[in-house]
Amino acid sequence: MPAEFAAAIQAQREQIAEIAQELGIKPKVQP
Amino acid sequence: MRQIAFRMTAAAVLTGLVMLVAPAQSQAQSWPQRPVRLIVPFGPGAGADIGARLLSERLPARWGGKAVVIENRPGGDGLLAIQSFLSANDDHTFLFTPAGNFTVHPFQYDKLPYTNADLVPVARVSNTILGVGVPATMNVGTIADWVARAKAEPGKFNAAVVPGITEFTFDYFVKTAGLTLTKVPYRDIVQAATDVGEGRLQIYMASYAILQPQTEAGRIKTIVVNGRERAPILPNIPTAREAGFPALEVEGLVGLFGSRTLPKELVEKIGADVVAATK
Repeated sequence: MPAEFAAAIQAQREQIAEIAQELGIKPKVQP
Repeated sequence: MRQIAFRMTAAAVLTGLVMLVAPAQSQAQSWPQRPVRLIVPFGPGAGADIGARLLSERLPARWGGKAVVIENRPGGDGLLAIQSFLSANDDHTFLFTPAGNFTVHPFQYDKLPYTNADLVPVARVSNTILGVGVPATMNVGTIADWVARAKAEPGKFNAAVVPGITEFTFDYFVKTAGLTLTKVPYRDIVQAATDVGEGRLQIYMASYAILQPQTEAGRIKTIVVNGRERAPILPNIPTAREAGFPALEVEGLVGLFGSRTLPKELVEKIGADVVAATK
């Protein structure tokens, strides 16, 4: 369960990163 | 002789493993020893707060009667709640939040008071239903109709936006749909819905809990939901992908996050308890 939740969050992080790239927004920090 | 030596070595290794695992198992069995805190990055009444309160009612029965206390820490795009969670640094304090509250932080802030490793996923509890609402007075049937209207009047439509994952996703939609409109930033998510319902703005992407009162009052039409699947409570509203605008697709992951100091066995136990309490 925790692993599935972690995987879903990682997928969302990757989706956000792809959208940011499409929008030309670079990450300001790498947490 | 060699076989005896091997058996002795194997026994020693096994004993060592048992000694390593036993304290963690014992900790999982005896946890919790005191009340458990759930820190929520919203005020009372928000979707995540309601979910947290449901857990606070159900979990004590699984946790030897120990209370589950909700602490609301709204503001700062979720950073106030995260800081409060980190400062506790114990195995009885958890963050209860939509993941979208922090997954966009790296694109919003130059410095963050945490790393990804500080927020250990424990259990997914629910999906916030996200939707796109437009004024009912616009009389649009679908999001495609709305986009056609917006394209016919470039620069005349205003969108209510709240910083975070919804604004991010909405920006992507605007770009891929080729729209020109003005974004009006809001901090008060309820006021944004009120203003859309009164026709002062022409579109707003938000949790359905925020759109619902205006939708039920007939002032807002919710034209799509943003999840991969239709929301069970809104079976007649298409997903953004079904409606032809996959750029608007995003999941409203909501769940519990624990301290990085939690042993894995305890994370598994608490996760199982939380998921069981939601059924």
